[in-house]
Amino acid sequence: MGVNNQVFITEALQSDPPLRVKHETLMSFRKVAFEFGNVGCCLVSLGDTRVSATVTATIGEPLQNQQNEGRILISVNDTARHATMAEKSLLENLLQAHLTRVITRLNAVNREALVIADNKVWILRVDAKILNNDGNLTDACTLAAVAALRHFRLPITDVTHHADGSQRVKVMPASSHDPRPLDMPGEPLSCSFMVMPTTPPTIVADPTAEEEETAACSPVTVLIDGAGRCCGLIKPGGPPIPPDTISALVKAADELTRPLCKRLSDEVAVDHQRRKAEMIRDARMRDT
Amino acid sequence: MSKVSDLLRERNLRLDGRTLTTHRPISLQMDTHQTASGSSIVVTGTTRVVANIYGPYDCGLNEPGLEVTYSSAPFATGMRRRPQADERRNREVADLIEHTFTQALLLETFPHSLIKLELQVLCDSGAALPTAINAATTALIDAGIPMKDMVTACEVGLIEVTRPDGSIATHIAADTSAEEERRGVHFPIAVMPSTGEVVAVMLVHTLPRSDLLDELLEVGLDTCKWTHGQLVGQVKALVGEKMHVCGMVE
Repeated sequence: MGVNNQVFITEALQSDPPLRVKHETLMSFRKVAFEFGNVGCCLVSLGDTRVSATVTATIGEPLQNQQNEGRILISVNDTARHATMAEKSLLENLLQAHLTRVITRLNAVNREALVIADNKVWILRVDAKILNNDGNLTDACTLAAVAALRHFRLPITDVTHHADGSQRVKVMPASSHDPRPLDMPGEPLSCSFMVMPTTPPTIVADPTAEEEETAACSPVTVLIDGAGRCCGLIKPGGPPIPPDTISALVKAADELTRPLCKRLSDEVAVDHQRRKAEMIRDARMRDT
Repeated sequence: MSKVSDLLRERNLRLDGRTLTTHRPISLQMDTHQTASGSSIVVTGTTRVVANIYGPYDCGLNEPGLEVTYSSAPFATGMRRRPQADERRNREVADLIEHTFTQALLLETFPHSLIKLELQVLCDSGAALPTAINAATTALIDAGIPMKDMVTACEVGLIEVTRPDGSIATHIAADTSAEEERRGVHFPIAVMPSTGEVVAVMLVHTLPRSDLLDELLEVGLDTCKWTHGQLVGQVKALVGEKMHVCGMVE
């Protein structure tokens, strides 16, 4: 990015009233939209940033030291990167580490509920694909992964134990047994900010790619769970910020994620109702 | 588990005999590697990290600025780890350290030049990342690269113990040991000690109380200030000794 652009962005942010190119105010998100595809597929757009996430499930064996837990594998793929490159880019690496931490450490999915039988567990795969990067990929990826997990439905299984001690797992068809949603107690969402070292510090929520590139800014991500509690604070370097700014950030993150969290559950519910109505309609069409 | 809670409740001690806020002793060596422009070894308890600075030199086709590599010796922990998983984590840690120092260093005094910082964890018995940051700071001092402030870091952990009545008590512990890190939550925090501002923090855990975050940061800041005092004292002693040897002071 050129020096002119940087100067323009910083001066516009510090003008009175503060101005931003793609946002209404300093503390607002761009337009968030969820598009659901198949069960467990969600495309999240945050302004021009677009991330799609897909959740799939297979039955497999648990890890040696975690016998009573299912497994969740997470991968992040930047589609702008050349597909034949063997190694993951730093960006993909960082986002993958972030998603893994958010989903596994914050109890986003109850992994104990993924156990089917002895030595048989569900293995969930969450694949996030970055379709377009216009900044704030951390929030977009978290939102997409959480939305896809909430949209996902796990098939019902039936375990029969034989007299000789062996067992047989049968996956029931969705037509006769309604698949169940995942048990998601944590409901974490992330909220990212850029802090400019002015006095007092200028805080900008949901930064765009150009705002992220502005050299003097420091990125901070706050994680908020479904109950509105702060459950994470990530600041990977950058210019230092005073500790009292951090409390302000946590408060702002809570206010920003609350409507988002509610909208997400509403939209998932609406989509599943629509799906169910379609299924009933299709069944009727077949009958007549 | 019951032993841990008994120790904490009755005698206010952690497993290794420290109180909750006691830091393990820090010791420091500078100018340890003759081939590097600046080098240091920082030892926190038994955690030992070697830092080497190469440069500043002409960056050629590379990006100018700071380049950090972070690696852990195969024998650093008691456990055998998958190298691939380690490599991914090391890249993330290196990125964090790079962003921590690019802002603290006056890199504009070295245009078109590259500074390489190599960190190697020789022994990890808790708080390896903060020790690496402290080692990097002292190596940068040894290399004579101007900085706005000595970035210092420490690890802060949460020890959760079950009370006899079944409720869970949460204690904040400064400078966690490997044993405590295996049991519970811990996170690194790096600060600019002269202003008390936070440079880097990496905490992901559901906190039982909402005001706990402020307390954690406060403990982090206090511990970093203590660490800074220790580092400054030892750096001054080492540099003074060196100047005396060179005949720069009487």
